[in-house]
Amino acid sequence: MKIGMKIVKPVIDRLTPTCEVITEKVSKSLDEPLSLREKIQIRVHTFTCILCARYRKQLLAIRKLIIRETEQAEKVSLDKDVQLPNAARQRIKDKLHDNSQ
Amino acid sequence: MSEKLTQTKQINPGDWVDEYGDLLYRYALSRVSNENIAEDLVQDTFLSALKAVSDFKRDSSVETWLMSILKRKIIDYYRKKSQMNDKFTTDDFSETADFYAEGAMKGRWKPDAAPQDWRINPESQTETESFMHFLYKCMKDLSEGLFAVFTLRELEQLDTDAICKELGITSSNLWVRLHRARSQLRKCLEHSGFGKP
Repeated sequence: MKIGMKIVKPVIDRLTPTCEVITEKVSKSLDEPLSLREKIQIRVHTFTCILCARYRKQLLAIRKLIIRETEQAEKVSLDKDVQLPNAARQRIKDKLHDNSQ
Repeated sequence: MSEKLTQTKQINPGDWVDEYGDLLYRYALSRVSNENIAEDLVQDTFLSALKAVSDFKRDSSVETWLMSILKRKIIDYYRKKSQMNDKFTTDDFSETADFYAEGAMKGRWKPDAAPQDWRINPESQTETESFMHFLYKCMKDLSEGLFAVFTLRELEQLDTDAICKELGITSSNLWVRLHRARSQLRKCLEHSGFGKP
């Protein structure tokens, strides 16, 4: 760690919420707008805490990757070879037939 | 009126099952992670579609229409579950032990829980696919309550008010659940090797 960071980091650790709290706020930021105070806390804390900085990046990446996948295909699928089992298929057809009489 | 009836006669729901059954089933399975429930949801979807076929206006495709019915059924399923099932609403999360609980390091990352450096390229197509593969695997480890909120928020992309309303939970309860789900998934993804060069 650079000398400057070595001096600054303990100060920032004392002034900002703990990593545990910061991760909660980072998660919350994905769902709600944070207060200005909370935004600053996250910025300042992640400036010196690389672990929380990674956490934040990773949560954002997870969201972005899911969005990409859902944009590409409405059909988000576990496995494109998965099929409705034949027994179920027949049962459903039978039920539809009964119901359309 | 008679034109509508003729149209109804021409539609054969059995054909729908052949044409759209797999698609609906795959989608349902990705959202509820249980084969029997997925089958039931698909069946209910086709039954509802059959009842409503005279309302189907053909300004959207049959596929889109069926999918919208299925999505509604999935949300209803989660809502019923959250109302019925204690496990859904009580604290179903074991203590993380990701952070020090006391002492000088209280609230700070424990070394074995500390996030690693991920090397990922969200632009890469193959990476996106392998990511979803790992994500689905990891999602299976989530408890029902966490699985539901994560699915509704991140996969269905419902807003938080809608989810709270559907599941009958407070927004602070929702935030706690989403936080736990995300933390658990992040950790699982990391352990599964995603993000390692």
